Amino acid sequence: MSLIEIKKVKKRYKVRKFGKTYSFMAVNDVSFSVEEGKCVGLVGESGCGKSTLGRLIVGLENPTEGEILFKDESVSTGSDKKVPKRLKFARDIQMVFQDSYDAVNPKFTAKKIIEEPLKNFTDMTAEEREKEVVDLLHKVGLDEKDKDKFALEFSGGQLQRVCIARALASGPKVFILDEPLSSLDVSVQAQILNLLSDIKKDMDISYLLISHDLEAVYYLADALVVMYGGQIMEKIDDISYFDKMKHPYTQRLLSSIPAYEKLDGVQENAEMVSMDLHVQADDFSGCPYVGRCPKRIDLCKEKRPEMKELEPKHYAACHIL
Amino acid sequence: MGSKIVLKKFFTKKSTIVFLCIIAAIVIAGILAPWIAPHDPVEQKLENKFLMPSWEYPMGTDNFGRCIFSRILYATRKTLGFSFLCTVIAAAIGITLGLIAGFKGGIIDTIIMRTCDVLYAFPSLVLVMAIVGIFGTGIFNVIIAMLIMQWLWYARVVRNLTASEKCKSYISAAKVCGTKNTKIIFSHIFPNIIPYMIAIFTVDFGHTILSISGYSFLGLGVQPPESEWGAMISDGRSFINTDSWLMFWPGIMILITVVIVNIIGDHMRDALDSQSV
Amino acid sequence: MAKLLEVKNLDIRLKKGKETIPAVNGVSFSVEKGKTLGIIGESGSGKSLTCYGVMGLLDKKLWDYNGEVYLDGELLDIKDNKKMQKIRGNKIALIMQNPMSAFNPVITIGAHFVETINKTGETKKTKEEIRSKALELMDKMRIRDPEVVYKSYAFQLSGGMLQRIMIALALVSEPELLVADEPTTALDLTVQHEIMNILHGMQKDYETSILIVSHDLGVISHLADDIAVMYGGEFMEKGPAHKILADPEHPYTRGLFSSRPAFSKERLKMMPGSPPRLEERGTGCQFYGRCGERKNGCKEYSPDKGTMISDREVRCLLVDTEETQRKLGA
Repeated sequence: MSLIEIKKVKKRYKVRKFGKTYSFMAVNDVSFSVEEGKCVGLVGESGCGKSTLGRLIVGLENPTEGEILFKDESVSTGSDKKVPKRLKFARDIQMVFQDSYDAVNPKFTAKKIIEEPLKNFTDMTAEEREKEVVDLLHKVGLDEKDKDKFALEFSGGQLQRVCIARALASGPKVFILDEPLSSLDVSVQAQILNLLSDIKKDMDISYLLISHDLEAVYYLADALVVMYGGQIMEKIDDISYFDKMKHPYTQRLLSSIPAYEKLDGVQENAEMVSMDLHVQADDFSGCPYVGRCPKRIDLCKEKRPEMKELEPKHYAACHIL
Repeated sequence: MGSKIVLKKFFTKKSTIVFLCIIAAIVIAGILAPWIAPHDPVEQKLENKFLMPSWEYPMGTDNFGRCIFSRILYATRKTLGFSFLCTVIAAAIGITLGLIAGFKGGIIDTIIMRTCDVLYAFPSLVLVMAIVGIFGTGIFNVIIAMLIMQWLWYARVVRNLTASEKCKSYISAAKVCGTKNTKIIFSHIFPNIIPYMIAIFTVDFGHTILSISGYSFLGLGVQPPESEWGAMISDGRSFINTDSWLMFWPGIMILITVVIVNIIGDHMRDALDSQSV
Repeated sequence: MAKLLEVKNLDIRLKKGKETIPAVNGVSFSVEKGKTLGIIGESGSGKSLTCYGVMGLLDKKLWDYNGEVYLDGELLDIKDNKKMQKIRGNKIALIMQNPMSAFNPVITIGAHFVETINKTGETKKTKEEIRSKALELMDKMRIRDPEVVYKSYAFQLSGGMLQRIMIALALVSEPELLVADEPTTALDLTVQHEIMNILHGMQKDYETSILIVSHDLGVISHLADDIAVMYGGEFMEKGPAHKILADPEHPYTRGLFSSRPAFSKERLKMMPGSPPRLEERGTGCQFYGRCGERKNGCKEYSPDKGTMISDREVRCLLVDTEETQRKLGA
């Protein structure tokens, strides 16, 4: 059963640049679903709309068009612009943020940080909460005596564990992990990856792992979504199709990773001046990757490619496939 | 954590502690005025007028034979008390409006900030004159007029601080944790901007002392026979050539207090700056 | 091969009150002509400090540094800012981590070229000469529409583009050594790849030596001919890239390599703990606290130099045994 379903979601932002207002689509017609107990990896480069999508799913922002369903019920609470007063499914959908030092109040101790959702969602007494906090700290591999430490006294990896404990506190069904590794050291990344894989197994939580790091995503994910310019380029529902992914952008992405040696370097067109805004502009109807794509044809500029099923569980949006 | 470091840094400077002691002494002297003042501040003894400082009259007497020392002590209550009251209310209004404007954004933000801009454009002296002209002289009217001008300082700074705090992901995290907006403002954002507020508050307090004394000097604030530093300078003005200490004592009090309050404010700001590095 | 840069016993200490805290402990290395040395390490390992130390760019109020730096056999006075400035402009160039903040936002890219060329060159050049030189360099950096870029301001360009321009600017004076401090960290994956290719191609064309610092094993393995693994202000292992990548000797290097998932779903082997902060460093082996293979004596192990195994230097008690010593002697 799909736990989260994203249906044709669009998010439009307006930016002001040199006095003119441009509107662009940060997320443009994206649909996919997160199955129960599975991890979906969402991969893309900066500005591709992956973080915006994460914020839309938890309900921090509302989509301009389309729907996001959690257990067949919409997560959004109101109009596009209005920031919701209280998130509808905060108990079930939790989020882990990129930079842990930024994601906790520097004036709080670990106990206070982890206690916050407990205070909001449960009627526990102070002693019960304290016990629960210690429990959670153990679960994420921290010590009981860490509970009185302030945020800045932790190292990056430890604080990310505290953040994971806070996300676990309300007993959620889904984790949105927004680049949980990118601010950590390599050796610490491995620890967090293992912790996340343990939690997934032990507590039956579904993940949406948003990252630019394909290697890490491959490690955790059961399904994979590749985004570029606000749109999905390629999607596989089973990670075993990983080697068969063939969208030009995915190929390009894979060839950039030194550790992935199955592909020879794919040449790319030289970079254009500030192309991104133009590609994501409201009235641009072609494929967002057209500017950099080495295999483009004339049709790519005029018509957006539809999502096609290349084989079961493997979809791509490209005219040449 | 953060504020602890700031406070520690603040108190390690020896000069800060000395200045704090001086201010404390002045405040305590003001509070205890009825007990330590040797004479009644308003009692006139014309036979004792223009006495030089002596054991009985430590700062001499004025043109009505009143003890200047006693008057200074009682004036401390007025000057510092009203300044403090004025600053606290201004800070409370400004901080609240700033928090709301910064957190809510949108139209509310625009309204509050444009109001600030409009008031900024007014010379404060003119506004005070206008209000006092309409409602009559008296310290409370002066305070109300000053409040109208003063809250903007806080509102502006708080609004910008709040807006920048709001972008940090811990606010998003708090929302995801189910915390309500009002609680986010008070338990997350407010504690993180307090240190900045204290720094502004101290500097602003100094300004307010100057303004209150200034308006009283012009005869708009505290009315005779009650004493106030600014009013006392005004009273002594006519005798500047013959008996200048009438002006000297209240003048020196204002000078000392304002300078010290400003220095403390500066030190506070230094302590804050060093934390952000 | 001739050594272009040789660094002997570089010591960098952080000044804190009256005390100093060691940040880099007597590091020695050399970069050969036309080759690349990659320093890899986690945050706080002192890798960037080493770079800035070599270039004499450290703030003397904060840092206390000593060591001998030879460029082309000539001893540099790294403490003399004026002398170093000349060398930095002409012989050594630096590429920084964040290209966005390295440019002056109020002047055009072209003006940056004019400034750099006039500052470093011996004779003043005309605007036209500078322009053609800049366009040629930008073309080499695979920038499309270099003429448009020449007239643009930094904030109009993407991070990848600016990093290319920064490399082009660094190449203006045709330096002998290029120091790159995390040149790709702030960039996207595909852009990062592109920059690495450019650096590689540039090295071929100009025979520049590169000293590159990164936390990213991918970047280092792609570019470096020699690798130095840094931890806690010391080199744990140093040697030719292919040997270290194929067969790491030091437990830390092994741990670092196995921390990446490398496209498998097998459980990761991980090192416990996190890299020490400056104040947390102990004496003896810096890796002692996190090492899975530590023995008695590791805690006190602190040799001046690592053990040499053929052309590789390893700083570990497990390697530094009587057995290896005997083998090396024989």
